[in-house]
Amino acid sequence: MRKNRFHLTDLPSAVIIFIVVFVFFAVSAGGFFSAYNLASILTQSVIPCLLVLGVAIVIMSAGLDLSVGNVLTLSGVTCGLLLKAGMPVALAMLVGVLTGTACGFLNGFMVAKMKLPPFIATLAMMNIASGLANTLSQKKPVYWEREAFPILDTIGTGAVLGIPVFALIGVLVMAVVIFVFYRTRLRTNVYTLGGNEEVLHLSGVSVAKWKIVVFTLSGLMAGVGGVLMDARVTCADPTVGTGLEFAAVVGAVIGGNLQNVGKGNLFGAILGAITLATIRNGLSIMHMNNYWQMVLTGAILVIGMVIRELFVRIEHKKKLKEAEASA
Amino acid sequence: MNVKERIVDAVLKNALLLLLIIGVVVFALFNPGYLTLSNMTVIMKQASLLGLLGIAQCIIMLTGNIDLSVGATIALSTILWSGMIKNTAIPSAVPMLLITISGAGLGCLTGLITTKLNIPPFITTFATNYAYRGIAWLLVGSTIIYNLPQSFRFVGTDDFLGIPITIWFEILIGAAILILLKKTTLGRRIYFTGSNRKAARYSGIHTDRVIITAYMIGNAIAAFTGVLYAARLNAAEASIGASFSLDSVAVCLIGGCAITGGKGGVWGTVIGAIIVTAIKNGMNYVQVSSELQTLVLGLLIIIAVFFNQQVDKIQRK
Repeated sequence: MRKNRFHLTDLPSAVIIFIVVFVFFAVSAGGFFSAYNLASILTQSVIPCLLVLGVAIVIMSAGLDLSVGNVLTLSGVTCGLLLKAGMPVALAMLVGVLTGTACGFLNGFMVAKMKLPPFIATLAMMNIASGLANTLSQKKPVYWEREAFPILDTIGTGAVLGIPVFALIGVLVMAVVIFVFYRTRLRTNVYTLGGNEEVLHLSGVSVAKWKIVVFTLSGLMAGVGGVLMDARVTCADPTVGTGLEFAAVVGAVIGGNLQNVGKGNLFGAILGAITLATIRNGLSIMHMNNYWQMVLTGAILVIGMVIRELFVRIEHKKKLKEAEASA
Repeated sequence: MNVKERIVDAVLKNALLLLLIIGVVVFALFNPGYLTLSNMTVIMKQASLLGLLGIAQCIIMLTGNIDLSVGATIALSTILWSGMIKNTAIPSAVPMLLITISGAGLGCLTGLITTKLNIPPFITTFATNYAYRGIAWLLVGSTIIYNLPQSFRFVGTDDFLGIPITIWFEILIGAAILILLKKTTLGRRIYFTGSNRKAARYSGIHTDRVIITAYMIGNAIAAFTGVLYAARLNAAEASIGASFSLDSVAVCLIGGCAITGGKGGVWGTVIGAIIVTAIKNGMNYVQVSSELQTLVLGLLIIIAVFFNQQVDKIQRK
């Protein structure tokens, strides 16, 4: 028997949900299947995709990051305030990204050194980041003088070959993360962290260090997301990130990333984020109001999980049969 | 055990109470109006609802699960309740009973999805949170139902023997759950399932059934709390209690529940609720903005959980 045979369970449920949802909307929602709309779905999912990469890696390492949404907001607000104060664009953006990275580092520190469960540490960070962002911005969107920063406008609204510049930057960052993940020790260490922490420890790798690395990476992604969001909406809104953390976690999970299995899939995670963006886009084209969107998004997620569970059972039966046949 | 060890032990065991006392003293120093009987009554009254929510979350957390949809359960149940009580001819106990049962129904659904489909509970309850609140939105949209008839509202507003009825309910339900957890087989099974689900299953416990029961009890309490809340507020709307789910989790964690399950109880949770309310109330007294309060709540969670862990470590030695 060949070892790396394809298993149904390897298929993230996002693939099935995406195909079903896509076909459904293409047939029944007029205007969904147009180049313009498909492009806008991709544009809308750039920032969620950034977040989902970070969160997926955290989940693979048996962690969880609930703070990315509010950390994104905090980074955005920090960057916006600095721009308002007249700081050069590059420096303001750098500080924004570093703010996110610092939050991620603190998450990692709490999990690795203070031994807090990731759910709790990041839940607390979610509150802290939201409190800071709202206090700094006094609960109002932060505006800066747009004329003073033409570069920021180019990033936010400009396009190269028809592709928005901020999307290009986002994709570039994603490419770097994916490359680093699949080409360095990061992947093996993250998988081992998720599968069996003890093994990593016994093989002489610092568990604490890698946990911090993983959470810091997630914070970095949120920081980049926050700064790009600033450029895109030309202001720093202190509510912009609310709910993004759950979208990221759900995207990562339906993309085939689970805790404690010792494997994962970044491309699945990206597809998961795009799937959620597609659902939102399609439902609003069909003039479903927010309420229906809420109910249906919830239902679709559950159905996705049902499908996955079915696959698990089918695989299980197959294995049993094979075992019987060989016995 | 010598005297010193005994003192250390007593301090550790009552650390939560000490924390509460220190908090109260600090706020009283800043503002004398804080430590008055009337303000303490306000705190206890507010803490009673949060405490009930905490108890609801606590039962679920003890099995090693979590429910992020209790806020949505509350929204849906208050909407249903306010719809039911338009007809004032029915006795006030009937709608409350029906709502509690429907809460158990919602919990049953959540529990079934989590256990039978093997989905991590925070994902399930995130989805059901969307779905339940969405149903509430679909029923009433963004309208606010207000001016509820007083013949139903008394449970949230009136006193009985000089003590608010909500506090009576907290005592009653708290005592019932305390007995359930400490004196019945189901209670032991809930702790066992939370401590080690595999071992519990191998020793013949239907862990799925235990978890589903916990979700049912928890959501029934949450729905009941929703009724009390709407009765006190004199209004019901679909967006009610958006922060309740996370608040209830925070209360449990501060009260010493472990998120992995099997540890914690009613006492800790009730005190956790009082601590959170007393600190929030105190911050209002010294005029800390609500945004900063969120930040403080975050810090409080970190400190409490970290502290609880250290206490555990020392006690195990």
